[in-house]
Amino acid sequence: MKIVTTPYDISDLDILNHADAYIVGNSHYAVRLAHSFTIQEIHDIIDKGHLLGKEVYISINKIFVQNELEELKTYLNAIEQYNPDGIIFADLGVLNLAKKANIVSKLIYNPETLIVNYQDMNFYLAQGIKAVIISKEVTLENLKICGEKANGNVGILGHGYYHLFYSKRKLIKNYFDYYHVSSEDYISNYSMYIKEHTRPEMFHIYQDENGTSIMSSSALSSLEYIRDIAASGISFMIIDGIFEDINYLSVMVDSYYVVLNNNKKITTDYFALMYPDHKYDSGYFFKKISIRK
Amino acid sequence: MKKPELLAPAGDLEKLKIAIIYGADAVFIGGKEFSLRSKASNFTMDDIKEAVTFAHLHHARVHITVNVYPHNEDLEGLEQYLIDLDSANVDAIIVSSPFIIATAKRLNCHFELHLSTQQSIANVEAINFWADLGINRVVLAREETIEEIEKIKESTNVPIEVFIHGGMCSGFSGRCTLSNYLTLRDANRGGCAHSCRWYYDLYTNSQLLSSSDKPFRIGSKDLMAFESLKDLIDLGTDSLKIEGRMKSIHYVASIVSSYRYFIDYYYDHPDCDIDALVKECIDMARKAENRDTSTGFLKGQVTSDGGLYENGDEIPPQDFIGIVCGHHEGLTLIEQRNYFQINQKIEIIQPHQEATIATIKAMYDINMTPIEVATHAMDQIYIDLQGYYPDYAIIRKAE
Repeated sequence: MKIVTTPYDISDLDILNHADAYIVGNSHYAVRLAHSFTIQEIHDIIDKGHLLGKEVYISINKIFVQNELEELKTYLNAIEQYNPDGIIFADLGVLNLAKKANIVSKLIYNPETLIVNYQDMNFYLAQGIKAVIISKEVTLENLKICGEKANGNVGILGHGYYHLFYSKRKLIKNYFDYYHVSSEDYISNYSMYIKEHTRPEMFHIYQDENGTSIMSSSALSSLEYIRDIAASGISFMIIDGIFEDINYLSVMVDSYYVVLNNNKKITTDYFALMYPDHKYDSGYFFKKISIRK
Repeated sequence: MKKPELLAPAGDLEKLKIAIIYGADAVFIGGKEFSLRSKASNFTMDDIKEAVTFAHLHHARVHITVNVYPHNEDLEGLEQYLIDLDSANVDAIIVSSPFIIATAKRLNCHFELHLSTQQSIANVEAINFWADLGINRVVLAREETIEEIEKIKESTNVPIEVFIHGGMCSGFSGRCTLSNYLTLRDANRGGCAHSCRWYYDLYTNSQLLSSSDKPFRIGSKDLMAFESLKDLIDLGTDSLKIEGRMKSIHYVASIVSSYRYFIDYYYDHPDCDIDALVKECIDMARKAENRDTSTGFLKGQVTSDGGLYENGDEIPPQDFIGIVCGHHEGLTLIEQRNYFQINQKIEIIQPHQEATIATIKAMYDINMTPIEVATHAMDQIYIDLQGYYPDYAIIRKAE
């Protein structure tokens, strides 16, 4: 199983050397990035990644409204010149544009919530794309079924905070505007949280030019299950470093690397001991989500 | 000028009949399987057949929501369900999962395939991707402006359906798992707990920024699109959709009537005073609409005006007294919904007609015993209205 992660700087590629691929992006075209790179920085990271024998994927995972299409086309043409190894997208308009540009084989579809069964997964793979990423809200059992039945490359979020909500609305700004208070300090700020009145968990909330995202309160850890998941046929895992730093991320990448490749047994308790300010969970691996109310 | 389809929700057979009688060109309903809005009553296959028969008799269409994102264990029974829907002669299914689309195509089902807003389709390239797969209509994401919808219409022949009224997800529909995470109810399988309407605290690091009297909210006001309706009609929107399969028959009748009135009046009087027509229709709809509303993204990025921030966002509507269900010797039989008394001043709304004001001069229970008050919902009561009002006329207290 390949490890894919999210550097914060070009120099991080040397530190994250146990990863097989890196995800980079610019916040004008992507949401929930660990770090927003300039176009030139993206170009440089691709070149350096290739020198190191690694793959580099560019994330353009926002939903594009009609008025943003021309800009998207220009961006796609520009980044294609840099020869990325993958383009992560969430809007099927990107797939249609990629058909015209003959770059469908580089696409990785990650709609976050829409791929929850193996039939839909294989439908998207049959479009000729490089890979799909299974949604977080499937059980471990279903994830393994997807791996077993995959007709192509399938990835998962293996570690990190996971997406709960994505709005085009500027919800932090709107709230402060309503009460005539300046919101300047709280926009594009990774230290924002919300807590539902009756629950203890603090969820990450983040607003930038593309809208507002809400992320989980605990980080997903799949350390105990990742070998089984790999054995089922899932081909890569993402270790997402959003809200973290390079020291933390390098420990995560190295830990999963030794579990996957050296058959070492490390449990999530190890993470919890090292990072007592962090909370970890197993996502939806064992949660029974009800269909009905 | 093309008249758009007016598409209304129906949570059960009675609401379906009301929606059609009050002017919907098409209704959307959910079956017992593969449908979101699991709390709506939803239709058995026999109900669906009856719904289709009734709708087709009235030259209306029936769309079935098959818009869940099924997990592996939910796929069983899909083929038979689609075959049964096809046999029931439904006009379209509203669908999100590509496997369901592919299965319907493989089975050569006769109904149309409408792509659900759960796919959050917001640009013409995404529309064309699905059109190439045989989708007959796309329900647009609710994040589009009028200007963007116009550009989409100029760029594709794929029929476009646009939401004009009702509840709105605050986030991109289909891309939200707040409900899943907070309540273990799957929003994409019909279990949404509407967690975006709850109350939150906002922090930066550990510093609380909100307060108990100013809680942080992320929820959306409902959509009411009268102010943009002329533009939506002018640009050639193919279908205008009202949301709300869980709403009452009073709501369905009132909201459908008001949009029906706008569309027909504007079609017949294209040079009319639009501002006056908008105001008139908003006043009509407000009598049943109990939530704060906004125009959503239709006029541009949603500002604080489009959000829910304070308590009391649900304004009590005029009391819905009952629905006409028969006649006897000059008296009108109604099925009661709320408390009322003799001499109550009432407003009667009927399909395709202006509302009428009347007073209940006398009232009798089902055994023709004179009564002064009606206290039990669902009782059948005769009332003297000194006039004839047809079945399905809606009676509510006048202001």
